[in-house]
Amino acid sequence: MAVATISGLTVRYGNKTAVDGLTVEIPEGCVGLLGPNGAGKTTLLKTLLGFLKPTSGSGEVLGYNVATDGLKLRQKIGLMPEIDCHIPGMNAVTFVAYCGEMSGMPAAQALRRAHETLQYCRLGEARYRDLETYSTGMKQKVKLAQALVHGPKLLFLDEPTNGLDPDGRDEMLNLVRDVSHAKGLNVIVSSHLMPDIERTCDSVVVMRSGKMVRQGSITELRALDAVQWSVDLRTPSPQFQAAMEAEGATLITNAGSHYRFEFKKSPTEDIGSLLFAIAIRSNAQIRGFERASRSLEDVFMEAIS
Amino acid sequence: MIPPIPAIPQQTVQNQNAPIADLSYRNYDGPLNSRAIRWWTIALAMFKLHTKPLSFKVIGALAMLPYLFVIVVLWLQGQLSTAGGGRPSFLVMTGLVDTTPGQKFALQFYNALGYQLLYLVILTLIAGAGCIASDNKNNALLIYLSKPITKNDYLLGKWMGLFLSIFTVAFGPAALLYFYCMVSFYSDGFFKDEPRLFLHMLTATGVTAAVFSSIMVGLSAWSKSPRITGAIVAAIYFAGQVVSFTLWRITSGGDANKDVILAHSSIGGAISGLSQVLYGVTVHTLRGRMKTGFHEVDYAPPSAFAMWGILIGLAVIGIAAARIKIRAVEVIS
Repeated sequence: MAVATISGLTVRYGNKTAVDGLTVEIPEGCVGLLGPNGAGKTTLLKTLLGFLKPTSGSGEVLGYNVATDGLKLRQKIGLMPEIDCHIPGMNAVTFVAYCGEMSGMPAAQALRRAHETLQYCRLGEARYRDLETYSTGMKQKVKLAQALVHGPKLLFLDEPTNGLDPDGRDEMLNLVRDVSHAKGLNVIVSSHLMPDIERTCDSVVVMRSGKMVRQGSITELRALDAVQWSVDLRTPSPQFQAAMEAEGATLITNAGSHYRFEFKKSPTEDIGSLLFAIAIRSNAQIRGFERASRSLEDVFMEAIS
Repeated sequence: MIPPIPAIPQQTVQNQNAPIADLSYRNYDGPLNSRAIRWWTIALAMFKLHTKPLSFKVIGALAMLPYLFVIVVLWLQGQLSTAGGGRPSFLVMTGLVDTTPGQKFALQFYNALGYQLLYLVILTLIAGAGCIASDNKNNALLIYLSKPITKNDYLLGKWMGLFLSIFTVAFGPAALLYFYCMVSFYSDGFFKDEPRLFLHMLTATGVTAAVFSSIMVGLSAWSKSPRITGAIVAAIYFAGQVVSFTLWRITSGGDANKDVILAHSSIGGAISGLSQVLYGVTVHTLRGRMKTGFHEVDYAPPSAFAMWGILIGLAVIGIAAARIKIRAVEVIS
């Protein structure tokens, strides 16, 4: 079942078209929204939240129309914005409880949930500190907590690892993964960082110039039509390369002593035996080999090129 | 033989290390308040934030002084009239008291509010300068408007939070004075001569707080710097008064009852004018110099229509300016 169904959606800022006739179905689970800067990812999220009126086309999120049901939508959605944002003069507990109350929760429930979500977001005792004293990583966690406090059915995370150090990034990605896979929330992660998406999402939507250029599960997108093998040699060997090509393989990439070959058809004999036979013939020494798969970055680059 | 010490069950050890609270994240499916009252959540939170700083509490306490002064004047008025057996002429001449039935207490409330205006302006600057400007500076609008509230809820909540902060300081001491008069002058015709005084007091303090809140909210929405907003509001308030008074002096030649509307065509002037209208007082005072002699001058209330017009206009402009500017996201067209 799709959490969002978008049909021919166009959003313009004056003469500039930010989203251009986008038609896409966003499935349940954790979905990555990929695209280079200016691809229209953030504009799409703002439109899905009801902040921007579409110039044409339509969209439904969780069964609500994005053009007319903004309030109902925002009751079911939590947004973690990309930019640094907080309400000055509050500590984290007050801030998150306040966000819960604004979403309609009774004050006592909102306070209880604020403590729970801040603990869940690993803020611990720091939750009593004034927000203005927080580091970037802590501010990101508070933004996640305020998005979660009212128990949304769908979370929009806009660049959730922005400005985080490796440890903070790791912690944030674990949280995102846990929210979507252990707690059963639908999550849309907008990012241009492939490793983040690869680690947290099940499927992706790739956008370029306001249009959808690729969509599918990460496993499907990474799958290759032909069979590719990565081979690591001890030293670079042109003879080995030539011998492989003589056996019907095509060189895809070569970086130093690392080669990737593609076979249009799977070799009839055992690949290990074939590689070692070729290595003996060409005086090369094999350090390792494995069946290659495309990285998400390859998929992304292909999609936007 | 000593019996062996039983091993501590593993479960107990785990519980000792576990936090007291249940920290696991769960979905929320509990009750929700009506959407129609969510602006009130913002108003209450803002009221708490505005009244938290020490500066607000100090100025708020100082804002009680005019009413305490008026209580002293009323006490003196009672003492002097008892001792002299008639009008306390000195106090009347200074314009501090008026024993005319219907004006005796109203004048005190009018005077006290007039003295208190300066404190209320300072409080408005302290509490209100950042009410929306700080949100603009910290991108908090995106947080607010990503919740299930409209920009009208946000604006009403912000406005009400500021209004309540100013109104509490304006109305509180006035209510105290009213209580003092009620207790001390009940037998002197307090209720009989001035039956609508409480209503007038409520309206005068309420309008003052509403106008200050509206102007502040309007200017704050267009700024990202609370300090600059405060400076602009202070400049408009004080410079406006100087300009309107100077223009009135030039055009009227000092005639107290000529070009009265011009004299009141500033924020402070209009508030003062409207409170004079509401309390229905004519201010008697002495003007002149020692060499040329003094003469009594009466300042009649200005046109109610004009005063209401100026103040409602200012409030509407302030709120409309804020409403235009408040958006979850900046849209560049």
